[in-house]
Amino acid sequence: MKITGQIEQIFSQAVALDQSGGLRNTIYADKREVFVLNYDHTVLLRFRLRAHESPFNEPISFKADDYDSNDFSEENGRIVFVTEQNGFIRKKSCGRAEYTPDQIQELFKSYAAKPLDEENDVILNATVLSLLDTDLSHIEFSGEKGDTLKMVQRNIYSGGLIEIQEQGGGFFKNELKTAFGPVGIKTNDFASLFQFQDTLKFQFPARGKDDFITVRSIDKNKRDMIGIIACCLYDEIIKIKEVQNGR
Amino acid sequence: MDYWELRKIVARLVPRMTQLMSSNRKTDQVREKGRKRNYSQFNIVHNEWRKQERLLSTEEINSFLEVSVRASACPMPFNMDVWDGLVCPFACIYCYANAFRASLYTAFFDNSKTMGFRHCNPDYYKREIDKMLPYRELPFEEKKRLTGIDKAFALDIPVRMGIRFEDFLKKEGRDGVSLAMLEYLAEIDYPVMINSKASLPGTRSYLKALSENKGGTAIHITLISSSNEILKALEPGAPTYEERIQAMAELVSAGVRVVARIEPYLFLLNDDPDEIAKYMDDVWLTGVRNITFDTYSYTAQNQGIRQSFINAGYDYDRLFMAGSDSQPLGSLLLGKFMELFRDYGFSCSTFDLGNVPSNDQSICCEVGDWFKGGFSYGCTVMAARYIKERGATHTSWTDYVKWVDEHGGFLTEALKQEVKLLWNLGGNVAYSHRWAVGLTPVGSDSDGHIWTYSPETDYRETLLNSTI
Repeated sequence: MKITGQIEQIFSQAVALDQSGGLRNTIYADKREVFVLNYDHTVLLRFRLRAHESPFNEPISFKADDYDSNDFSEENGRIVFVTEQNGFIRKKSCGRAEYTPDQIQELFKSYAAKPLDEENDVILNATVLSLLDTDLSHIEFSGEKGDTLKMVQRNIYSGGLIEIQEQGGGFFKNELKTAFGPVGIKTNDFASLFQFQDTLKFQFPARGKDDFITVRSIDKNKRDMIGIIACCLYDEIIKIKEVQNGR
Repeated sequence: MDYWELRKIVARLVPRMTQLMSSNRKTDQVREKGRKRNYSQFNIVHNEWRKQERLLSTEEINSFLEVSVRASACPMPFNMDVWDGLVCPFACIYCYANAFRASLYTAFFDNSKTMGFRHCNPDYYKREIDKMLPYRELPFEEKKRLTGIDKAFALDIPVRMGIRFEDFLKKEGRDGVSLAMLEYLAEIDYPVMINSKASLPGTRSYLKALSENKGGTAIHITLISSSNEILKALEPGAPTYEERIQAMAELVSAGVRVVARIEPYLFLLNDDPDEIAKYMDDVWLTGVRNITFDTYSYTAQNQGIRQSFINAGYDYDRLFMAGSDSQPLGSLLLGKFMELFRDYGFSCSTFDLGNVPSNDQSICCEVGDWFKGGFSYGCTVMAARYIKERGATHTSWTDYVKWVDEHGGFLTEALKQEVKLLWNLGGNVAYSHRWAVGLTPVGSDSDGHIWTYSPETDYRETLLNSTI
């Protein structure tokens, strides 16, 4: 099948997400849904195709860095990318991703089904990226009830602290329903979310229920995206745990 | 601020990741270069096909004594390699040596995968060392004119076994190659220090060889935790905690200086309060009184190692960022961690430059009071100690060189130049005494910086305070 340049942009999102040196973020597509799962399984993005975009009639999956052309198909369990240029045809074949699109869709549903009563909705614009230091690994998010979101970056290499807080008084001031955080997101992951839209809605879990952050595109006509981001936590535990959401 | 307060603060600086689902997967820690097999190339001049292959000797190591590549920082840089192999069966997931060897051997040789274990030929080694024996009898001034391994040997700098590979695996127990070397070193009374995780050195014939060496013998037994659960996860093929504790007791009884080695220190992993308390009680009971420490090496930043930690259920990024990637933070954590052991009564030292000034011994291997021969004073660890001992007195490169010369001089001219570069804040920054707390450049002369020691401010704590 041949995909449009707009869908191709979704695939580029997979490369933009932090890959922890592994270069193995993965892409899953089936019918009208495209999923991007990062290497560490801490970020899962779901994109819905628009009405005029051709659906994926066959489920397909591959590693983001294997992506080679917008013309590809699955042959005998391998993904083949085809490029035509100056009378030559180039075919690049590679393996499928670790999971099936079905499995990833189920994973997404298990998180997306969570009730959002206690969530703090915060709308953020891409302009906030210019205030951040992209060389620092994480951004710490927190806030108190009735106050606004606070973002903190700590430089553990040469010292220093960056604190960013939305000023009060504006019409669209993000007043928090409940206290939350601190929870962290990798700086690269946060920045890459703004690849498609300048404005995104973040839903932070209430304090004490820190599990995952949901991010949604505001303009669904432009690109319907929902992201699930596992929280980075500031406790004294070194064991990696899966997000607890009653699954 | 004690370790526990600091640990809490650092946990608020570097977060732990959680996952939407597990990312356990096969690791490829040993990333091989993949040379072509059965590859021939047509030679136009000779008009024939020629097989292109380079073969590694799979039976024997031909080079055995070396001055370490870390000699610019290390006071005991005289290495003796006895055993070698592509993969160490102890399989410690934090070790980058397997990855390094695989990369090196598979890049240059076509038969590295079939090598198994190989070892030195003890008879060849003995013959070569026999030729060097007269150097030990030279007057001190003549010894100083020697260079490299000849000089290290002449100065009785202890040889270190087990730096590149584990020398006391089960196969050693059958073949006795390291044993033959230890017996030979005992015959010539040459000082030796072993680095090992094995329990084999605590058995009868090894104890005998070690205890009969009048030159002095010491052993670093790496034991990073008292938790067998952690040890099993991190060092799946190595002897258990109890086996290593037993070996320590046997070696102490035989008159060997046993130094427990906690390397790597792993933030939030091998620092559980109850496990540390058990460790100190058990190690103290064996008679061990010395411990050496280090942070995780920056060299360990390897994708395969990271995935191995994740597979074992541990957040590699967190422990690496806090304990190694940020050198000041890692150094501060280690220093406070060492204080726990110091308070118990252990003598504690580290190769971590940040903490070298507060080491209990100048020789960071904790054997400075044990061996009577020489050490390499021409290195950044000793430079830091020298500057610290002089306190507020200004110390120039000329002062330092004079002091090194009194102790035998630099092992090579190249090493002297390398240390001078570090003295002036150049060279490999990881091993610079710029990290040593209290060392301050206060001026310069024609040879570069002049240093002094002023411990009032700790740049690591200043950095920490600026982030909270």
